[in-house]
Amino acid sequence: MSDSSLIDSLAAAVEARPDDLPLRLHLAELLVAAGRGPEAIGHAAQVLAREPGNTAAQKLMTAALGGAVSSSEEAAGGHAAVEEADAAYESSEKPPTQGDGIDWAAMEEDLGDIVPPRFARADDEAEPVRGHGDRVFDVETATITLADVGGMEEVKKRLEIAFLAPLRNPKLRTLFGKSLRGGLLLYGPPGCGKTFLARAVAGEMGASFISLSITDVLNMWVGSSERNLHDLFQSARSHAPCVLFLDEIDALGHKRSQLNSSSMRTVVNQLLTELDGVDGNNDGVFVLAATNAPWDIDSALRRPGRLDRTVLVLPPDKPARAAILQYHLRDRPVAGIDLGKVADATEHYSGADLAHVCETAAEFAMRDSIATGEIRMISQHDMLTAARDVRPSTDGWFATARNVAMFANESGEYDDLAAYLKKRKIR
Amino acid sequence: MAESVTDAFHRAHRLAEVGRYADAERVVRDGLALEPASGQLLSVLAWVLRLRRDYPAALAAADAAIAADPSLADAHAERAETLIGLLRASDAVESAREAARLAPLRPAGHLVLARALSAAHRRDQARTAAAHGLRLDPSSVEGLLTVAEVEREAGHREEAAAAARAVLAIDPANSYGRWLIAMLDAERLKVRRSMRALRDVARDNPIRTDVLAMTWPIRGVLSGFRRGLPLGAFITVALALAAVRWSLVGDFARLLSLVVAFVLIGFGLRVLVPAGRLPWRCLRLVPRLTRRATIAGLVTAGVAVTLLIAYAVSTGWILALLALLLSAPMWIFGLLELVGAGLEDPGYLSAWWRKFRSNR
Repeated sequence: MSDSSLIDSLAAAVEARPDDLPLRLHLAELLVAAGRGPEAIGHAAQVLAREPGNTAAQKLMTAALGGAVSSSEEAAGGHAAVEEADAAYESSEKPPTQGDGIDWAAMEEDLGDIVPPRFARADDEAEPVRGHGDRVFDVETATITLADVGGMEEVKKRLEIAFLAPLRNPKLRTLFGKSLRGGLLLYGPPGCGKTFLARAVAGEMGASFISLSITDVLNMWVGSSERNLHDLFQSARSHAPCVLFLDEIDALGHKRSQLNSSSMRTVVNQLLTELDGVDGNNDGVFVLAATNAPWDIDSALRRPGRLDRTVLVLPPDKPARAAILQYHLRDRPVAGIDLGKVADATEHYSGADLAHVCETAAEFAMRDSIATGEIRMISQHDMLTAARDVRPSTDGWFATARNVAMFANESGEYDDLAAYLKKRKIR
Repeated sequence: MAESVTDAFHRAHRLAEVGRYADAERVVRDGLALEPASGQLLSVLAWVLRLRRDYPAALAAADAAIAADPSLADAHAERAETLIGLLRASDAVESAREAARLAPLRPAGHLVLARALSAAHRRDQARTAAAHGLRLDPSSVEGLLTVAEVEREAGHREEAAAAARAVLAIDPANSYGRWLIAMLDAERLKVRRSMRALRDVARDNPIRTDVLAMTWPIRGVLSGFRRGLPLGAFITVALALAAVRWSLVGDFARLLSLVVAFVLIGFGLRVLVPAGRLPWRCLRLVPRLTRRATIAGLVTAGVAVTLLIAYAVSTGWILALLALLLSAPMWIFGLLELVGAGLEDPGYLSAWWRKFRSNR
């Protein structure tokens, strides 16, 4: 029996028994093996929709997506995610004439003088991109991906479902009528890796990364925030696909009812205009925002089409804590440290707190070494003593969050937070 | 790093406005590194430190601002605001007077003077100063809020409510205006409306939730019991003792005891039932000492009322006497409630520490 007829028979069987996931997975496997990746995507996606943790389906999806990319695109970038995202745009948003036969690398080279480069090269240093006038926006290429984020499986899953999966699956997106408009808001206690996650998302997509915070606005833009914010978005648009990261969005997009100065209100108004993309097409610009205080954000910013998806980034879980501790101990003299036990002793600690624990433990060992004149390693005892000395800095945030869950969750926007607080018996 | 004093001034203002007090303080200090004797920047530093509730540091900064530029009205006004926070009302009045003297046509000085006078319990003068400040800028939200606050302190609820409503007509989302109206409703025992308004304010400003204010029905009931119970129990005990000689008075004493008990219970139900669960949920969030004192007060009040009922259905006058004696712990618990709330306020803590040092 040829591959093709086997696939046809299996496809008929899957059609007859749509809930038989192993059968569907087998069909997807055969399709990938036969080089029919695009057809496999739908099957793998259906398996993943029911079993998001199915590793076989995940691998098949990756393989299917990889196969869907043309060789010319591979030559151009090397990042599968970028190419897939790009392909997604080309297929869904751009005219059909921009088909598979185009050599993007060659075209980029040809038009290099006319249009800005679509992708920043990974091997280059961050290239400052000049907007109008003398303003400089640092466009980076994020080299980290979600695989570099230790633990935090729940958050990664949420990011995948809410953001990355629709982006990578144009067919599914079309099937479910899902728009790519809108941005994602990461919120949670300070020091828990929201910025790192944002970079990882950009890296996952192979997209450029531009970061903006209130300090930038105040440092560069007093008096001309409207024009500069517009230029920043334009810069992001010209570098599409690009992740525009708005750090401390509670300050940039503070509730206008609480602002007295007109200049700060102007920043919020302009941010709303740019997010809506009234003046420019926001296709390929993915807005990620992070905040410790989502309750201070102007409600208009959280309406559909703007920052309409939220992900709660909690203090790292046990595997993440172990990974963070290991990272901070990597260049220090350690002996006999049981990371699992230290991770157990540091529940509810933020990433920054864990760094502080390692620093304190190193101080203990160094102090003894100076006192005795004999170098000694950082021990498990040092780590546990340091963990007792350093108190989690997230407690204050959760005390505030308790009020939020209690009084400001009528619409259910903080259900995740309320559930977590209930689990920790903070309410 | 700030490029100029004006630059630092504006940046710090904007950062403080969006709640970035630490960043604002850093920007001001950067600016002060460029020009250490800038009265304007020192004044902003005092303001930022006061917002961070570091009153002693804010006072030091305000003093430095005045030393740098004695003619700066803002510095004197800021010093007065800080002194109010530190419960040094008479010193605050002096500073506020100086601020008003230096800039007589600016409402800010008169308004801070009104608040300082109100804190010093000089209510009529406070009302005059507030009215004068408001006349200088009749549509000023700050002016109207000060008038509302001062009138409320003076016990003029209607005037206070009118001023607060005028604030909401200009700025419907104004949290303090809404909070003031809710508290005025509370004072008039419009329980449901007051709790609803407080809940709305908390919903819009969850991080600045005044959980203590939201427990007012419980604390209000206790306050009523603290006043009503000793009086009722005292008369009952007096009548009970008189009944030793005139037996007819004994029946009257028991009847009175029952009436007092039911009036107190009725008052409690009148306030607590419409308030719903919210005050009880908020009670868990108030400072520990306040919470424990409130719960202890409630238990004591419950026991005292039970003793009064028990006296009414029996003849043991000792029960009424015990009810009367329980008034003392109720007042102690009331005091502890206040101390517990004060422990959370750096201004109170600082004032207590100052008092302790001056007594030594």
